Amino acid sequence: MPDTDALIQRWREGDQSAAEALYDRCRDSTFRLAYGLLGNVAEAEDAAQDALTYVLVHIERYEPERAAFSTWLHMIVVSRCRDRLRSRRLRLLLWQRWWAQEGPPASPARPPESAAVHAQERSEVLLAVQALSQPLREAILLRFWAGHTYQEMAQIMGCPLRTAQSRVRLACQRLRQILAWEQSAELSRAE
Amino acid sequence: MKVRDHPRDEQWIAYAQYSLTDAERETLDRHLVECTECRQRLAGHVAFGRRLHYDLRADLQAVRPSRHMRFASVAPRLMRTRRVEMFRLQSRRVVSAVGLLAAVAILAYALSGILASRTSRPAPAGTEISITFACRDYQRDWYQNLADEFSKIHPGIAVHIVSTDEITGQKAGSSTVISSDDTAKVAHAADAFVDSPLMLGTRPQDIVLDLTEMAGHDTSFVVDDFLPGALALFQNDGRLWGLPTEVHSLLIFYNRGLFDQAGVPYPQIGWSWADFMDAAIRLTIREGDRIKQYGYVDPWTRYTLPSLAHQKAGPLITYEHEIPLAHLDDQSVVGTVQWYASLVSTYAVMLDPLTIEYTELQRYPYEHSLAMWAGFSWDLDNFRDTGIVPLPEAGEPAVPISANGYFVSAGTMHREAAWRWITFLSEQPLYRYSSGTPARKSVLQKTRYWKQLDPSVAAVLQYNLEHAVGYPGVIGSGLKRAFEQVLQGARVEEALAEVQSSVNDRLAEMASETQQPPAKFVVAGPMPTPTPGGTQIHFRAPADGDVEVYRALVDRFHRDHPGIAVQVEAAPISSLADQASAVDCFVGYAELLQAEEPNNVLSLNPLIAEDPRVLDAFYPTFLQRMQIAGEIRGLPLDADAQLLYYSRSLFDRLGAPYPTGRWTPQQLVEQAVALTTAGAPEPVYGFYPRDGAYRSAADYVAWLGGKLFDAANRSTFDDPTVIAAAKRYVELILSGGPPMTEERPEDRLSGVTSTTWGIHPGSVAAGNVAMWSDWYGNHRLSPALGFEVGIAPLPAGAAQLESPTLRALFISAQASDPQACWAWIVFVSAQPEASSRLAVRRDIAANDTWRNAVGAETADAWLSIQSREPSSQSLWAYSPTAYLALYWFDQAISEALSGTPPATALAAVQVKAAAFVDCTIGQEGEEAWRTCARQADPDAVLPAGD
Repeated sequence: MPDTDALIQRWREGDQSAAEALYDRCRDSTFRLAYGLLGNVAEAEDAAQDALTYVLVHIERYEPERAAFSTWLHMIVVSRCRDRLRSRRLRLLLWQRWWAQEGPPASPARPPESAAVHAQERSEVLLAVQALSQPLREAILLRFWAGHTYQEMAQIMGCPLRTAQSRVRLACQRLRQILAWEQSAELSRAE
Repeated sequence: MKVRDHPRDEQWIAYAQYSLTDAERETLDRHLVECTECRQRLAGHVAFGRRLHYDLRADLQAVRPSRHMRFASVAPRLMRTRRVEMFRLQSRRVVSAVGLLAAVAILAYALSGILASRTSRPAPAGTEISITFACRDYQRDWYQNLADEFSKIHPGIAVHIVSTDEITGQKAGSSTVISSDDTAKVAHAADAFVDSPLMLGTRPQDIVLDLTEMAGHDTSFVVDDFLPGALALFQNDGRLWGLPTEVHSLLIFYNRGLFDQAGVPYPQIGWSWADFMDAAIRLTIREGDRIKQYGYVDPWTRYTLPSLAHQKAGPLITYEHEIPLAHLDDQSVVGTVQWYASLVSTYAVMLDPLTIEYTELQRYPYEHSLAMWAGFSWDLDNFRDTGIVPLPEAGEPAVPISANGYFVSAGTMHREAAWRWITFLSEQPLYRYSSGTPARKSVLQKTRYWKQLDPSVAAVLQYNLEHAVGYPGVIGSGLKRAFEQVLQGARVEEALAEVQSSVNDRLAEMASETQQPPAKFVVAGPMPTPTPGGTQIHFRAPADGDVEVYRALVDRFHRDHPGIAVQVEAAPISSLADQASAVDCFVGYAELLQAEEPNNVLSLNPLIAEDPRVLDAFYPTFLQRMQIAGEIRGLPLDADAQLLYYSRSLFDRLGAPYPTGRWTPQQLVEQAVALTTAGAPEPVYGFYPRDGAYRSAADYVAWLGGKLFDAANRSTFDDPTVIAAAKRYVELILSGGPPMTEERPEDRLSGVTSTTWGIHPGSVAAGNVAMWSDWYGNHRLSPALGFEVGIAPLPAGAAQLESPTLRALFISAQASDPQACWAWIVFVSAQPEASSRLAVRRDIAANDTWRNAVGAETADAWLSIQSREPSSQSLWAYSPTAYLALYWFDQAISEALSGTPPATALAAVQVKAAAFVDCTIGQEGEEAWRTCARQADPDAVLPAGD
């Protein structure tokens, strides 16, 4: 299997099959990160699709010496998800009454076969992560799901290294509260 | 550090997560050596981190994108934009190499490429006829190339490619499909289009042109070139409604690995029902009472059952005197349904479809380990390592197929040209990313289609297409219904006899509907192109309105402004920023100006300064709402507001005078209470607020005279005016309204939830409510009521209860030609047709076209509201934090409606609301508001955070 760098190079040279291979390789993980951040399959698909399209169209802008490809891709995903969350927050805080009066925008029906991933059961942990504030949620997912270093996280989130570290710490504290995680209970279970 | 000075938890978390400096870590290491308690705490944090890692990985591993999120969906857009990006990059290089002049030329070329991709190409010089063809947005480039080829062969016909996504308001590139309602929209907007015949419904003549005569007269049209089963899908009652382009067939997918593990031979073409049953039994794995792995799952019973029944019984429909008759009570059909049901009820090898939601059943094969499942050939890409085989056989094979094809709109003015275009299209290779099989034999041959497939896949698909059958959907749904009744315990004969009767009624109805004359409409011509040297602007109309109104306006506008060509697209109204980044000018909600960065849209002041009279016709109250810091940011288009509706029948029966605009709020309360006879055999209730008792309580209390906030927007919920108004409101609801059975508990939480748009509340629809408030937009949208309805303005109160919401015309700050946009929005704002709601201009409010559109009573009620003193305040005047403080007010109303004296309830919440508002002074943003809410009221239930 060709490595990601080779695919990037081939796509830069115009080989469309390389773009397809890159897309296929990144599709699921891009979607999963977006889903973790947004908690909604349809929105996650749109955000992931936007991010992948951006990355493939602007492949010249990727500078391997500055970041790994996954870091660059995740930076775009996080940015797209933030856009969506911003518009959601607006609705939530100020226009909830008004949207209700106006009627929510009709949600387009999906074809039955594409409903394949809707209403995915989420575990306690994923629900708790999605209850965190946006910066903390980003930090947890980038650290514990994507396995990024703090340096990479700082690049992706656009914040200083120490901020990335403190977000992880704060997020862990909040999650322990939300999950009412009892250290002793967990330890005894581990034994 | 002494042992008893334990480090804080956050330090141990940082330690566990490797975010300490070396020095910090060393300090903690020293402590760890001596402290057992902290070693345990650290172990806990490490374990917690591990759990997060594993649980998140497992959870997210379990979610997958749908099959629509695939490369093919983005490839066309990718190729197009990549070409432009390449041009852009080349232009940079050229700038450094040969100077500015060359760069300008290349950029102009790139720009023309962008424009060409966004708009239809102008007709080639000398053409006589222009037709429009609608396809999905991502297919536009593909069809544009074919249109270019076509115009070379038919120089008298220009084909303009338009997007069904834009016509129907779908988001370009989204994975949603066009619904049957949308098909009618597309047919009104384009001369020809590509779609599925399933979308035509039972009256295809209302949507598409009957092609039978044209096909008969066209000597170059060879019917035999189409796969017979495919063409049949486009025929109904002997008439031809479209031309197929690609087909898909139903087949059985099987998991080779599971077959190998169980030592079951792979199924082969021609396998029998007994083979199938044997494999399903051997491949079903049980663990006690639980089925660990099903041998078979069928998400498509409405297709499999007709196919299996046809194998045993032969054709399921015959025609007697041209009337179709179904034979679902035939003994062979009975045996088929019995056998299929036994897979579930006797052998338990097939997932019971009644135990699972339909959508879950559809996605079951994607998410579970399965030995065999029924599916369509469009899923071949998604199950690449899976074997396929035709359905098992018990007689003459019969395979259901589905297809996509080309149609000509029933409203086209260019039948011949559209016919030539779709026959030309049907002869072309399939769209590159199509997963179907070409429906024409000549295309199969020309593209060497079968040779490009894996031989085993080709063999199955060929076999299927040779044995294709097609039945109207009513047969499949009838058999499915009978099958499900049998699974619930009904006798097969009885279940089939019942559906037999209803299916035949429906078939007769359909045959008769097809004979009805078609609906008459005319497809609008292609969008104009600017004269040489002119300009082109892009305008976005609301998707929920009639975009054809705007297209018609474009024609009129273009006659007076030949230098400006307006391209109209339709999309749901979104944020100002989103719309401003997508098009030059658009319809948006005026309220968003307060919530978004206003500089996304152009200040109109300089344009207005050139001719201030353009504002004269607008009601000042709406113009004021377009102003931010003295800058007018848009032109009001129309408004929606609450009006008072009443049942004339009930008022007549009770001998009560009709409501008038001169009533006071107190009179409405008194009348509502007086009219209410709750305990009577046929109870009458005086008044029902559109959104129920809880959701708009604050609005009503303000309207009834309650002063909820002081001048500094601090809550004054215990003010005597609020207590008095709240008492009146409680009286209105409890003594003058229907029982609150329609209220939902969640409605009590600050109105987060919405009442359903497009229906009347149940008590109103039932006809036992004398008066109710409703939005004009909702009343218009909802089904007609079964009694005579009167309309009046809501009585003028201390605050504006009708709270009009305003739509406006905006120009993007990035508009390519603001002057052209300005000319267009000034024109649109003055057209009565564009104002699909309540008029915001005096001239339109007096215009017969608008009055006829909304009805005289609505128009008069609206004029009466506009003639009021503008002193009544609107809840919109509140600050965001004051608005959020209503959360506690709503709690008090909820208590009061449950029996607590309003004064007591309001006094209790005033403390919390005041604490919240005080806390927010000088603070900005959601986090601060949340913190303040929690401080003011630890029990507050806040919306989930982002």
